[in-house]
Amino acid sequence: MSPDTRLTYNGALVLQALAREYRYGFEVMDFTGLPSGTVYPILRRLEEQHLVTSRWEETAAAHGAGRPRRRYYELTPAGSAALAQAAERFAVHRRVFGEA
Amino acid sequence: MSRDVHHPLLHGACAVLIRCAARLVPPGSRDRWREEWLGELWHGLAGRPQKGGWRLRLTMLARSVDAFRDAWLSRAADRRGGAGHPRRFANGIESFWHDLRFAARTFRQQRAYTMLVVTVFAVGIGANATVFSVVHGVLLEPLAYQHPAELVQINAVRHSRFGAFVDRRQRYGDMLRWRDGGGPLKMVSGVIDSGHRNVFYLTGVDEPERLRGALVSANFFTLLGTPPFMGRTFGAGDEEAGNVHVAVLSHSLWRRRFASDPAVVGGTVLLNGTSHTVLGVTPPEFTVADPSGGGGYAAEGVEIWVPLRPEHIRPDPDPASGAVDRVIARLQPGVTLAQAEAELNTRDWDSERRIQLLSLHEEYIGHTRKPLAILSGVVGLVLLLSCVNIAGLSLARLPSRRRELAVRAALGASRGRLVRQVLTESFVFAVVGGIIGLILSVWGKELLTAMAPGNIPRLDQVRISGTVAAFGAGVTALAGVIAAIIPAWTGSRADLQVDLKEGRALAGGGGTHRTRDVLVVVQIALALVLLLGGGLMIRSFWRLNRVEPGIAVDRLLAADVYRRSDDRGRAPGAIAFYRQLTERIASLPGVSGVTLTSSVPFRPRDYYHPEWRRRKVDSQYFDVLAIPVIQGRGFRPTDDRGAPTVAVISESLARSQFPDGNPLGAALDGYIVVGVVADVRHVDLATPPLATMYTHHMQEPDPRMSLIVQTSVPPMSVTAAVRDVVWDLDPDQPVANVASLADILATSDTVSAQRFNVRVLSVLGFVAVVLAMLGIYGVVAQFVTSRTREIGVRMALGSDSTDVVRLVIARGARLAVVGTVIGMLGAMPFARFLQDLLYEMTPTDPVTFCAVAAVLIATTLAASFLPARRAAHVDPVIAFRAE
Repeated sequence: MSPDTRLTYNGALVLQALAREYRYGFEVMDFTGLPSGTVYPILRRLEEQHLVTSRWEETAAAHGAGRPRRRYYELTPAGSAALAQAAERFAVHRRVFGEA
Repeated sequence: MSRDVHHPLLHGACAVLIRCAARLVPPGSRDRWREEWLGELWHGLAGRPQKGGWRLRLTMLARSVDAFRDAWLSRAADRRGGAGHPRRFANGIESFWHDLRFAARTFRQQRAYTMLVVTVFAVGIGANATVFSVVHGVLLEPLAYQHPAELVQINAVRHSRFGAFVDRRQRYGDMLRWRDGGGPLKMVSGVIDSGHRNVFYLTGVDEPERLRGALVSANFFTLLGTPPFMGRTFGAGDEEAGNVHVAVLSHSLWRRRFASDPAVVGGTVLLNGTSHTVLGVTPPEFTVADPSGGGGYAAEGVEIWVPLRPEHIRPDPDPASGAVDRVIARLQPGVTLAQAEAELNTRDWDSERRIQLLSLHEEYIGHTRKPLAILSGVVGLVLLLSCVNIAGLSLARLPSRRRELAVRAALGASRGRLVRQVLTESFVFAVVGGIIGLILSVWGKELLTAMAPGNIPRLDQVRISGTVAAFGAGVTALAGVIAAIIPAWTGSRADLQVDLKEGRALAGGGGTHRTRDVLVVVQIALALVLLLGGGLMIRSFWRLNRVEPGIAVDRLLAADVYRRSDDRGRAPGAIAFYRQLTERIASLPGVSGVTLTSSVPFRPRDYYHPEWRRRKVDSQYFDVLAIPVIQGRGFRPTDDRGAPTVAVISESLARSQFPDGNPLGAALDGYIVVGVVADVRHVDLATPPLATMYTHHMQEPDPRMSLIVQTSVPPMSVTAAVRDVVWDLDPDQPVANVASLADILATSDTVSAQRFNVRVLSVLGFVAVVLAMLGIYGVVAQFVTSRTREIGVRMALGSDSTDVVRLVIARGARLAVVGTVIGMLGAMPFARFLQDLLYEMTPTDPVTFCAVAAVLIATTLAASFLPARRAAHVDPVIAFRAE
């Protein structure tokens, strides 16, 4: 089963946020308007599907700036492909809904 | 790290929330989860500009609370071991949360609809919670004794020429044998709580009082497993003749007459002129239900206990032949009621009686089962009607929601997902309505228990407990599902092609119309059943109140003035006291007559003969109560001790005992009949007149006589004057149960039970009619909306407004008639269930059925009138454009 068939609308939104360089959990929430109880499970699921990766920022850099380190997320190539497919699918819906 | 954080207090609070939520995360990923969240929180509060401060704070706080959901989801995902497995569960939680937020949005955006639905839910759920609180407190709550399932009452089934009857009274000798004989009974106690032996006159205090007490075996409190609140209860030596007289007070008596003074225990009180040492006080929750099911003195309750001694048992000299009023027992552990009964009948076989054991719980509350079952069934119907009504309202909203549901389906929502959404929304409404209903049930319970007839025991134990709240929660869940199941299924049948392409909200397909019609018919049928219940009770109550009791009821005051008597019931000086009392009361201002009787009407305390009742009165009785003398004469003052013993009999007794002859001058049971009076309904309005013999109290002194005072002013206004006269003659004479005869009649069991049924069923019937009217209104209004174009065409082609109104009302009328017919069929078995509650009426009373049907059809037609009027004003031009 291809990643796209399991990609929900919210999942597509999250991928879109990552594609727009909103990498951190709270930033994705701000961009998508989705709550944490939606965003973080999606990020974990996308990570398990290898559409997204996550890693900690440089600890030394963060501590040097006097703040805790953050975890950030990035699209993988599979994730980019899945996003492209989803964008095409939802564009059809936009055409159907768009005139209302 | 927090030194650069804005809003450090908020940051600290949010960090605490996140750390608490982290405890839900599986240990393997907890550290990462917590660190990620804390990092985001820090950045959220540190990296933002100061402006928009309160929105930022609110957002961060909401996210910190939401962290719990994320933590729980990750825990659930971990339990299911991986991406594929937890997805459905996590999505389920996510979608439920989403549906909850959507329902909250509906609340805000459609307030009128929300208020209507929540109100209807609140009425249905609240009514059920209220009734269940009564059912639970009266029927289901175990007796407040230790191991109540082991407690039984020993009855005897005897036979007379009138048939078999259950006799609670047992021989004292039998009670002793059961107590001492071992076998299936662990403990046995005799109780005397009726007649004159259990009446105690509390004197030596400011205001003498007549107390209702009980003579009990020494092991009574031990048998019930009731430790004293203070002091001690009876021991074996307390019931031996010749020992110091002792007593145990009820908590209410101790509070009321002794100001909760602990010094009372160990002190003495004067009871019937004899000093009694107070051993202890019972706990506040200890009550003893009236075993007769709430007779005339149920309101008093037992307030004092005294040990049952042989001298209390009559007749002398062999107490074993005397009787106690009741025998209660505790079964041996492991012995069932049936086993104990069989063994007792084997060991103690008696040809004149069969021993019957009844659980104490059943003895006390058995007579309430049917009325409470009926009440529960009725409010259950109200709940069903509420759910059907809400289903109809929800269906009416469907056309406006079709586009929204179609969009969801297009985005991948399955049919089950759509059904869940509608169910969740209904469930949210039901929960809000249920909470309001449960709050309302607190007042509803007070109202219901205040209105309840006096023969319902244990009303003081009715409360809105955790069990009642749990019941309310269950009913709420059930109501939410029932109300939503049809709209959910109907609404989930989204046709994407049709529903998305149409640029307007659809008026709903034919299937939706038919479903709504069916729901309205069901509502009308249910409303008819409920209205019929109210109608039957109203007619029954009306019939009962038209019954002539045969005595004057207005302007009469009754009061018990029982003289202290010895154990044989003798009270020297009673006749002289009563003579002086009546003479002085007769001269009071506002008093036009006074009489004495051993048995107050509607609060009877007659002497029993196998074939008639006997009542002791004085020479003014028939005049004061306006009982006509049909033959011969009434009593004269000269009918005293020196004269031949005479009797006046009722006309029914005259007919039964002297069918062919003149009773005057004849002898009857040792009395010479001197007069015949009209029959009267002495017990209550529902009980037919009983054959009665009246004797003169001067010839057969009775220390327990009641005054009946005829007044030319409101009866209760002479109470103080009457009391003053009594206490002037004897300062230690209690005056009890002072009430007007009209009030006694109004609060008699039969009348109060009928009144209660009328009020409850009428109110519920009214609610049902209102709901049915709402349903009809909605359907007809939607009919008008969906047929606007058609109506416009008709008017353009020449139909006038009358034709349109007729068309619309016919729509409502068809539904009303179909619903009424179905309701009639369903009402027949329900009405038969009410048979026992009705007074001299058949449950299928045609007058009531026709009246109820007419009322229902008329109200549903009235509900159709507004939409019909709207339809009559449709502008054909606008109708053609509106598509």
